[in-house]
Amino acid sequence: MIASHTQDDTADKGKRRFLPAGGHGLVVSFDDALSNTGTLRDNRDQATRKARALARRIQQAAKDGTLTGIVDLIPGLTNLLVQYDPLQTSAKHVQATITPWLNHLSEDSGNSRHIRIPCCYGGEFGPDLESIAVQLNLTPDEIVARHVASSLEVAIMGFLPGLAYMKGVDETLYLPRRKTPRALVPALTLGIAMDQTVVYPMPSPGGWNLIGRIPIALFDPKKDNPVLLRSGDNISFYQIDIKEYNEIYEAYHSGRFSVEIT
Amino acid sequence: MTDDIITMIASGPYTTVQDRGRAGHQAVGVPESGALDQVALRLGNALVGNAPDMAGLEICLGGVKIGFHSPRLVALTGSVAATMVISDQSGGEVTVYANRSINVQAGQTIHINRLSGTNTVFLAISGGIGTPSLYGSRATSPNAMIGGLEGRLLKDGDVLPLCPDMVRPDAAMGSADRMLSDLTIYDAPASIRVVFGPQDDRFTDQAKSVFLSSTYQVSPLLNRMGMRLDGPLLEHCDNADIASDGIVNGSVQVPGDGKPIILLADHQTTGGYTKIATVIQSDLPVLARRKPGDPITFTAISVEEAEQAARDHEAHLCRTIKSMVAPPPMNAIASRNPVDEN
Repeated sequence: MIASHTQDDTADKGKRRFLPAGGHGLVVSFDDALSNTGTLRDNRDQATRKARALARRIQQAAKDGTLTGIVDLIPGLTNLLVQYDPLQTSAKHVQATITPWLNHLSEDSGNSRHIRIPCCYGGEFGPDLESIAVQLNLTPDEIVARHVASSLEVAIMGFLPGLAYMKGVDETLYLPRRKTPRALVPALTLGIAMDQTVVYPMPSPGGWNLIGRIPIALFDPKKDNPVLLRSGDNISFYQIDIKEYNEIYEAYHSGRFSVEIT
Repeated sequence: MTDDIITMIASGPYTTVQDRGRAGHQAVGVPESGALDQVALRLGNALVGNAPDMAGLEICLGGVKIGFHSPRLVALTGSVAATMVISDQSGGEVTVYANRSINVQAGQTIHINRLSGTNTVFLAISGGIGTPSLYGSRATSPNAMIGGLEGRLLKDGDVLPLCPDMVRPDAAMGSADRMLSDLTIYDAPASIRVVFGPQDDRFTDQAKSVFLSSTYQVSPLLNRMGMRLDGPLLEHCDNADIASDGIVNGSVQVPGDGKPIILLADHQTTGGYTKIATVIQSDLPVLARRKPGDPITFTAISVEEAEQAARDHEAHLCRTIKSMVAPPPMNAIASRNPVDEN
């Protein structure tokens, strides 16, 4: 854990720190909370980690009873939504309690988990691989090689149970999302757009460029802990062929395959 | 076979198992979900002697027929004027108004017609619906495919398990029937109260004043995720994109096209579009009752006023529950129509 710079949180650099969400939510924004060194992207990633660190700090306070009435904590990109129960607390009280903590947040360096996930690229599972290869002037094999070489970090979770926005895709693969989203993307399809990768945990509409599919579940309500990934996880993918996909799929669903978490 | 079931003889187009919801897991993308009309949930459960968070049926649009196989207390809530018809196998029928509990016998059916005066009602059943619980809730979120029966809208022929009715062993005697004598909690406010933010600074001053001075209409594009509004467009200062942040129930999201959408119980957990304002918690049940074409206007209040409104609302809800009395005999009830909205 690296201690972050101390900054004066009362000095509002044109952006508000606390944004109201009705009488039941408070957004804490870290958008302006960073030094001007480093690239914009680095700064934003750092702000996102800070938001997660604040979430952990509030969670701890909720647990030890120093802050009551916290209903949910939802980290976003560069911000944290604190959902509270107005029958038990108020925005004013939440704000006053957490403000002193903002100067002492240890930067969230992730959960130190590294997860390796198998992926079968191309073909029926990755219907956009060929077309984006043309767009990027690369071969499909080159795209796969660069994707498996990318070290990704789960920036935030959202949209669907278990869906992780994983940042850190190789810069040469940057693409916008498709102009027209697909009405239905099959479960566990992997898509890329901008510097990010997502895997759809369940069938869903989706606009990402689809390049592969994974044989293991990201959300399994039958498990004690239904969600595989969490914010801060480091993720890398490795390539498998269709035969290995089928083998791992079978093994996973009969409890004989464990995901590699280190 | 257990008799602790109900059969959805007709499911209706948009009926789901709902309870208080599963807040606390949105950080991993699990929507809060739960009954759109939390007032209806609380009142229904109180009327049938359930704990406040037990699961019942949220019925949007109506068109539901349910078969009972064990005696249960039931109550329809969420509307002053809605009715249900209880029929037995010999053809006997009785019409029962909302906001009272009544005992239903094995072999009887409940029929709720297509709703006309409201969009959503809630049917509470003593014991509660016993579908599997996930993260401590049975609430259905159809888009996330979790909760309720296989995470989906109910369909004709579905069989739903009920929890054993431990609460009211006297239910079969009919002695547990109750009705609410104070229904003022259903009084519709003149306009829906909002707090500006989180991103009201991304809209022009004119857009904010248009939002408060216009009458919007509920669009037919209405589901548990959100209520789209038809009316004047809201202009952004620059664009509608933000660094994705968390969403609360009632967030009024305005994407690039300028058309506001009020996000409801099944909203996605995070989003990348500006939100001009947030509907206060205590006015969310009112939204559940609005149907396509209904007018909606907004009034802005402060955070402190919104929090006070939540406390006032809770006190009102407790007074309403305390107003429960033993109802007059059934034939008198059948002819009593408190507000003829239909």
